[in-house]
Amino acid sequence: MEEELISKKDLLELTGISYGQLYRWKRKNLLPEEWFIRKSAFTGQETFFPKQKILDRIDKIVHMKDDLSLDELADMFSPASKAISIPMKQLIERNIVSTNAAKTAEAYIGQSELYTFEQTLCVYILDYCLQTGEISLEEGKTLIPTFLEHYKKFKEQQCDLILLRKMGVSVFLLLPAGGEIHFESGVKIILRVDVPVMIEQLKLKLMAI
Amino acid sequence: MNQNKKISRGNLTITGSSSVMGGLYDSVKIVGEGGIEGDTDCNKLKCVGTLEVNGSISADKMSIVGTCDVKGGLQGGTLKTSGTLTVGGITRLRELGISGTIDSKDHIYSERVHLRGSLQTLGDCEAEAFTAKGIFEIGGLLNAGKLDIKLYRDCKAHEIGGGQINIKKASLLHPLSLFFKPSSSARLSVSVMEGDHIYLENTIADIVRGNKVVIGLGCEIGLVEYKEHFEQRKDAVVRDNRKV
Repeated sequence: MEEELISKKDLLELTGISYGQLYRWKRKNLLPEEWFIRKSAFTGQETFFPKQKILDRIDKIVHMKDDLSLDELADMFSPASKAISIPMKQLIERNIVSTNAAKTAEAYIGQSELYTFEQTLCVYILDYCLQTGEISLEEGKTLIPTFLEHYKKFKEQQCDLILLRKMGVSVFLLLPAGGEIHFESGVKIILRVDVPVMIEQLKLKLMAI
Repeated sequence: MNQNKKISRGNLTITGSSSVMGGLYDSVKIVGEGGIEGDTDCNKLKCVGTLEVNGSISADKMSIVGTCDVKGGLQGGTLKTSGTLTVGGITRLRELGISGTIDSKDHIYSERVHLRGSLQTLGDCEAEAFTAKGIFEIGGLLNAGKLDIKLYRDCKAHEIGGGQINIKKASLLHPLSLFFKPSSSARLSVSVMEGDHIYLENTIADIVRGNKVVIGLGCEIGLVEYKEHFEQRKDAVVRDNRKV
């Protein structure tokens, strides 16, 4: 997965932000350290960023910084779980997850009244995967225990969720974000879910009450 | 975690020479020579003497007068040191006051850094406000919203970035100068510096990028890239400048 990069200079020009802002956002952890890619150029060392990701992020910061403090924004972008629990009923009512996904997940998470952030995230991702139409409900049922069991192991590192299929047999796996993988022939990547993006979306939806 | 807070905490005092296990304490006081095995969480830590911690420290208020060696990370509110402090892991504080020396192998994050002694780190140093009247050597990036540096001795950082950057040579008339005489040849060396408003004296840099850049006396800059304003005082060497 070769990502398109953008140099710091071009980024500042394109977005109209200043060095001071860029460094402040970095200090506040609005821009993750992994995005600062140092490369040597003919003018000496230059910093590059993954273009799409950083442009999306800056766009969000610029549009939301009037309503939210930088700390609140940092909290939203951070891959760390929020310490909250939400009643599932509310999630369905507010249209954050579909009834279908919630019902499927219930069998694994149990019918507890309150869901933790991690459990909510799991249901949210399941819902997202089902919505893409790429996975079947049956496959969704293996997603939940896989995610719940292994996601914790990444701690606060970013990770991707991948669904592979070969000859009709499907496999779910979690691996560090952006990592490269290669397979034998006949294996198809059906879906690659960027978990931090999901977290961000979910936090955003949870905040908008 | 929350349950732990409800457990009443005892005090730890070492006078003389002793070694203890880490854990939860209210106040930790070392007078003499102490050793702590394991992570320690306390409200107050005071060290007058020598302390060696084989683990990490988390404390609201720390003050070090003697020598303190922490193998792990350091986390907490305010830290004042007029002694010697070495940290193996990440330092994360609200306020850091250094009159002695601090030597870190990893990043230092603190809202405020007030340096009157010496700071050395192999990692980055991030602060909203960084004022220095001392010596520093930063292996990574020095990132600060407001950077005020008076050069007393040679200072070094790999990169510097921030909002306002002010680097001046120390005044000989300052009362502090009586005890801590500034060297007139003190220089700051940095490879790349980026900021909104930059004022430099006695600085050696490959590249300086900024909105408004003023290069004062004693500077040797390879390339200046500026957006709005560029001024070069006499006695400054700037090999190339470019408006972008």
